[in-house]
Amino acid sequence: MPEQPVFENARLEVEKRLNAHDFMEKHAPEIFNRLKDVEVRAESMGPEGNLFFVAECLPLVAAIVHVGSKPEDFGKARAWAQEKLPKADAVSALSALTFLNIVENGIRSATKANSNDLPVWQSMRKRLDSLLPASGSLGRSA
Amino acid sequence: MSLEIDVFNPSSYPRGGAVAVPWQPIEKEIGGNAFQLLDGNRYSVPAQVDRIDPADPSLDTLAFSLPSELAPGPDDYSRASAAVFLDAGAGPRSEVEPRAPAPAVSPNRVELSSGVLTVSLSLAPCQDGTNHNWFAGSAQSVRLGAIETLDVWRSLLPFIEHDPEKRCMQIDQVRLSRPAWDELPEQEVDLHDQPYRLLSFCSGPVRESCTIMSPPFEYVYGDPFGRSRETLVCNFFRTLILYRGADFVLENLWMKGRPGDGQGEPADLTFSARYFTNMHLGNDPVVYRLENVPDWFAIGYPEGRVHPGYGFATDVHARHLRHPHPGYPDAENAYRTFSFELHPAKKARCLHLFHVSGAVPAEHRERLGGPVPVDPVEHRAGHLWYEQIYKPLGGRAHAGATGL
Repeated sequence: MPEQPVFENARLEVEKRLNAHDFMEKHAPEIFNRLKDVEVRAESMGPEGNLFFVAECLPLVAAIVHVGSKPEDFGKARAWAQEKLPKADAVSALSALTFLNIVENGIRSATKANSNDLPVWQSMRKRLDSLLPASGSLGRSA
Repeated sequence: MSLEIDVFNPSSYPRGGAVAVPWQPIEKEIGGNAFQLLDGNRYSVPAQVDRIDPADPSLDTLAFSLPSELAPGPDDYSRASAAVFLDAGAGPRSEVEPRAPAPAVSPNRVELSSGVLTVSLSLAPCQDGTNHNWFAGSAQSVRLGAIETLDVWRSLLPFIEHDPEKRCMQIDQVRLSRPAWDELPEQEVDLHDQPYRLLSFCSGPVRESCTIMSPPFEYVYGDPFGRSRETLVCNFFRTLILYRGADFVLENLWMKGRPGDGQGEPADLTFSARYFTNMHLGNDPVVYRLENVPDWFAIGYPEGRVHPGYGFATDVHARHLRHPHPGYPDAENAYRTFSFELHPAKKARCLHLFHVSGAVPAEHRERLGGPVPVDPVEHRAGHLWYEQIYKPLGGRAHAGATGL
């Protein structure tokens, strides 16, 4: 099932505007380990684990956004988010879309490398899917 | 002998906390340091005596924690809400002994902790051999539990190195006014590259404090009668105080000058202090400052899920906040810099609030050192200005010692 275009477009726009890709690529193993730690804790929580996972990870992703992007790029991305989502907290929206990017990129990399990390990334994606609006799949290309 | 100390709550609501009163008049009255402090039910009250400056006993302070909240009282301190009782000769207890290590060689760094907040203060201009000699008198680390408030975002990502330039509470410059007949209106003194000396470090059941002193510097002014140039040799003093359980730092500032010939008593001088801060409060922090209320302000980051913040309050007014600090050499990171100047005063009492709220991840919440605050930083800064600076709890010894 293809990724819902609205999310795909949005997350790609954010990735481009924030310009934090190099930072995330440089620290990809550490970022994965942080997310995996939360994923492991979420596993034992049943259905509530999805909410726990997102609630715990979003501040970490917000930190990645703040540290990994330059203020000028951050400002442009924030302005874009404000324009597109005037009722939402722009910084939270940037964090959420960056979170989608991290998971999508993780799945792509793990698939390409035939890595053991793939099931963990896929579990993360399921958790995100469960909290997105209806038909909000994050992409099934992997 | 027993001495009664009245305690005052100047607010219209019950309040608890700590009280500080001058110690020297009490010491003269009871004739020594050995005492116990008791409440009305004869239960022991945590207390300590701080020797602020070993060379000036008039600054010695008795601090104690109230065992319960005080009933509301008039805001002019005209009626006490309760009393505590000082029993002389009933000790000595170790926690009320003045502690002033007065080390022969001043350390490069001093660390104060409230149990919640830990402040690492650099006395030396440089800590790491890089010859970056601009950190004197700055807190290079301010931690709420294990979270570094000067760089909360990096603190959430432990795989990222901390920013070596981060610092706050640094008085990087003081200015002294010159007489009207002088050629220049004022004299600027840079302190960021001058090593401070530790005068005292006090730790007890109520609070931790330290007093630091700048190296001497000359203040030169023209004598209008003799047409000569006169010189005062000056030192700038700072006392930093952390009460147990607090997430803020109280600070007292003053400056003393004595004639350059070494004759005469030191005098308190009027100065303006400038604070400099390099703190990552988000890429576009919001400044909360009311133009007609220059007693306090706050800087916060209300967007997103984690909200770092800093609040400042003072009993002398603060000028407008400059953000970024003008002329900061690293243009790319200048957005993290703030500076502001106090109005001229002979003494200033200031408060620095360190705040992290919002959806702090669980593992960091556990390391925060206390509960996550509910109120936003600007509310807390204004409230702390009222309770700690404008209308603090007061104490007055019946034997004549007074202090608020």
